[in-house]
Amino acid sequence: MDTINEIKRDTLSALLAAGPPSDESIELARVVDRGIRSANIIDLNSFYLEEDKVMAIYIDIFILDHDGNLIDASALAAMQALLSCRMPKVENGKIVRGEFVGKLPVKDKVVTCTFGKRGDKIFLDPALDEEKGMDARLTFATTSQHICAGQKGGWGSFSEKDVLELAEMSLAKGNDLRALLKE
Amino acid sequence: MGGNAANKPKLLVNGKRVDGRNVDDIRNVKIVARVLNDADGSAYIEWGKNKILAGVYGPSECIPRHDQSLYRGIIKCRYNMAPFSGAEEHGRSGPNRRSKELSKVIREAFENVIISENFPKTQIEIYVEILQSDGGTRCAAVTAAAVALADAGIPMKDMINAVAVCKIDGKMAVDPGKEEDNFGDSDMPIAYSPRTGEILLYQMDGLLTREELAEGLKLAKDASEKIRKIQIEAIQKVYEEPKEERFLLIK
Repeated sequence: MDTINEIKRDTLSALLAAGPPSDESIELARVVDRGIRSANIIDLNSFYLEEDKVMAIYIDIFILDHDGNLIDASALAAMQALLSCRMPKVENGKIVRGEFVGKLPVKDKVVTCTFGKRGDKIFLDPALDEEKGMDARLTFATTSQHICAGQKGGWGSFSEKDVLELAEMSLAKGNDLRALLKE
Repeated sequence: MGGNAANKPKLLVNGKRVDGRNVDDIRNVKIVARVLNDADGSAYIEWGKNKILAGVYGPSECIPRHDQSLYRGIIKCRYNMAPFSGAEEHGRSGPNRRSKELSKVIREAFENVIISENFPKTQIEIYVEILQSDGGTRCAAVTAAAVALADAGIPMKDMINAVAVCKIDGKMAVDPGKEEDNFGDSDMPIAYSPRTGEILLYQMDGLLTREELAEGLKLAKDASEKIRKIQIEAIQKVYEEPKEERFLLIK
């Protein structure tokens, strides 16, 4: 093997209303995508088929009902889907349909923790009512060791101290969420 | 991020970066305010090789009317990369998913500082066109848009700006260029409100530890104060120098 082309694409689509995706659903998909993509948890070498030919992963997320904090829920669902994904059998650079060789090689589990802020109060996992009334939100995606993505939303602001404390808390709370994911 | 690991160049040699900067140096930033005739406020920024034009219109009547608020002015923002702005955008134009997300986060940063309660039923439009991109365009866009808003006379609580920090070869550095952006391990754009020290825009990707996060925030804050001075000078020059000569200042 001389060249390995590494391509991975997670396409996430959120359906919150009819019509083209809103700014919010684009942001949701991109935040979940960024968390999983930047953590490098998938061995992309295993996607190689033959020269100039690789496999790709798509994740589609359909929001059936909305009760706040779609980011964390979507990220958990996406991660669980990756963990249960099977690798297709490959022979001579071709995928053999319907035959599988083990699971997708996933090294770690990425989960996100979203915090809402209203006034000077900060709360984890905003429900729909809290989401409607909050000034700002801050999401951290974590692996078991590292922070791997972050995103602030809303017109409000966070202090430096908030960001550091919430990053710390995301790592701790992330472990609770990781425990929910089944291998 | 996004670069091919196989041909990754060395980003840090003897503490110097690919373009010879130290880890806490920002690139050259030049800002000229009031460069457009028809916009209520405008600014042109050259940040390293980034070239960005920002125009502000408003407050004007908010159209469509269902977007109006009885209590405050609505802020609209469009971040757009010109089709010729860089290798990735070659031959493409119009909004894509990336530019829609960036428009949203830039708008939210300005919603914090613009005193929009003064202008019910109106809209304030911010247009940012990336003419040439070289990494860190969203930060340069926020910086230029803040100057354009000030030039338009829109009351703001603060003159904000943004700067990114990255992790290159295991060390934190401020203001990544294109190569550092593509091949670095982490990228974290932050907009500070220098008056309060609050964070108005925050994004991050790539693996970071708690300590690296804290170091990155500090680097960004120091750089933000340098940029604020340049922004204020740009606004002062509008009133000191005649209009025709302002564009010629950039050499």
